[in-house]
Amino acid sequence: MAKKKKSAIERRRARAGFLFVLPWLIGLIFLFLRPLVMAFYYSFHKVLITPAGLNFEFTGWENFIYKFRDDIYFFKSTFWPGLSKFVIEVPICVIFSLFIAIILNQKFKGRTLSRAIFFLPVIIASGIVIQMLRSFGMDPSATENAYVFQSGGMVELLMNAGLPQAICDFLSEVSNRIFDIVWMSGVQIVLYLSGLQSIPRSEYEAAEIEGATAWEIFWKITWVRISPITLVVLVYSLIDSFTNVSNPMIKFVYEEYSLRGNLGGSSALGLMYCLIAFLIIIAVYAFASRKVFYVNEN
Amino acid sequence: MKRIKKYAWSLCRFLLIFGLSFVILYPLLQTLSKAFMPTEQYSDLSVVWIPRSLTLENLKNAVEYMDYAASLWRTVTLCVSSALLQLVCCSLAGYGFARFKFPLRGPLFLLVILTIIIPTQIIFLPTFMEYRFFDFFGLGRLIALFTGENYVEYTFNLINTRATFWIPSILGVGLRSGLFIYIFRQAFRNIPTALEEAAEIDGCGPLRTFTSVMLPNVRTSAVTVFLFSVVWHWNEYTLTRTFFPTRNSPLAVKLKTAVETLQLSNDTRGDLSLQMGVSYASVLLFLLPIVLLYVFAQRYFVEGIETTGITG
Repeated sequence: MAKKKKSAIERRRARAGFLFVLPWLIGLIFLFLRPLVMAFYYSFHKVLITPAGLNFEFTGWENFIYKFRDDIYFFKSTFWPGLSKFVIEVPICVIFSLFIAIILNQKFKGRTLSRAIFFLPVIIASGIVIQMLRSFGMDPSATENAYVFQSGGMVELLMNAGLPQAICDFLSEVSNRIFDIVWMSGVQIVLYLSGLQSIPRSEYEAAEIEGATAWEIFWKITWVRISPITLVVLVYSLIDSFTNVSNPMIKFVYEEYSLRGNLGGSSALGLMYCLIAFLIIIAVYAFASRKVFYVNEN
Repeated sequence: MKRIKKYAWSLCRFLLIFGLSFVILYPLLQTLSKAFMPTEQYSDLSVVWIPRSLTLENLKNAVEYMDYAASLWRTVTLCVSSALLQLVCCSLAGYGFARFKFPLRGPLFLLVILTIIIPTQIIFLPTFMEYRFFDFFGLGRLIALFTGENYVEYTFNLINTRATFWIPSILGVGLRSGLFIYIFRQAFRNIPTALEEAAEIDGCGPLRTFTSVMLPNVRTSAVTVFLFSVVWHWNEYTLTRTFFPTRNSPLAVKLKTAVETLQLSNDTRGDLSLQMGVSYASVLLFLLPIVLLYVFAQRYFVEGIETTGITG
């Protein structure tokens, strides 16, 4: 008897909750799911824009393969780099942002100012401005810039010091990309910073009393405690790497439609790329989430 | 020994922070310096940071080529209005997901996450068509079915209008709306249920509870969402370029087109120094408003990202 009365309230609550999410649900259906289905539809058609609306002509799998067949460099220059650039980018980004967050978490003079500066890339998060700023940094015609973001001088020095070619190349690669790395890591740094602040001080104190070295403290406490944040940072960096305007595939998808007017091809290759990227994200997530350590606070 | 080690680390830390801050600030300072520098001095090796004389020429050119005053006004109104609409829909949906049990709540919330992951570039072609031939989500087609005319007769062209941002914003699928719904959901979940129960006992319906009890308690999150929404709308280029291809374009598009116009126009094609001057000055003009916003509202930006970080 009590059960029935409760379910009436519950039903009312359910209805209210449903009404709260209703505007979003309409948007989801009409402006997300339907476009997604339409994109699939476009993919299998030759799409022509006519004054009377769109005209579709069924072409089968043509849109998915035409680019690979007609342009032998497409796979090597656009598709593969777009999908694989995360392999280098994401680990560097994760390590770098954790490192910087640990430093910014220490007490020193000017900490607030440095935090404000490191957070700037989040505010100026526009691909277009970053591209322009980057070109300013590397502009050879500008006065003293030539060596600022290019490591020609450093590589020469290291080569003369007798380091192997491979190591020099790697170092120069990293230092050439320091601009991109710093500008990519804004959100990640702040995520890590908040994670670090939630680790209880008492754990560090206990470890110090037990005589643990800084190295041990990092791997046994910080790294373990921060692992849920690492998962978030990892997924965020992956999504960013795949969807950023600087990604050659995203650039291609945009240009194929806007410059060459190939709506079907743009949709097909975009969807194919997105699906593979999605599978990579799922795989990385599944693998990484098994290593994550959650502290049960209760 | 320990003290030496400590000082050595302090020094290292200082050098590292200083160096990396330099990497971040360098292009910005460069922009500032070059925007006020007469273009003849760009290639003068004896002028490094501080211009020998200041000029407003570059800024004046940029203002002209970007159509700055009009475009700034359009951008500000577009960003603020879209952000407010997003705030309404995302807070409602966030509250719904946080506090009510209804059928399919779990799967629907997964779809929220999916909207964050799928890049807009994949679906913006069909979305563009939706706005180019907008018929209120099929209503026009339905009418056309009865009258027998081509449904295009019953559609509106929303391209080049702000509706292309307003409609998705109020329907919770705007720029990074998924993330905002997530933020609101976390914020509402942190409020004790007793508060809601008290409101209910006092006779508040769900909507009244939401507006007068719950919403004031998530003020910080709301301000953060608003600020981020404004900033992200400000920076958005791909969507603005697509939805404002010819007229009314916001600053992010003008930034690119100003230099492109100079490069294409016959009179200015060869004038590299003019192009350089305009591109530095236009970046400065583009960044100035949001950097000012950041300086004044820095607390909310940092706090906001930190609270989402903890709950992520």
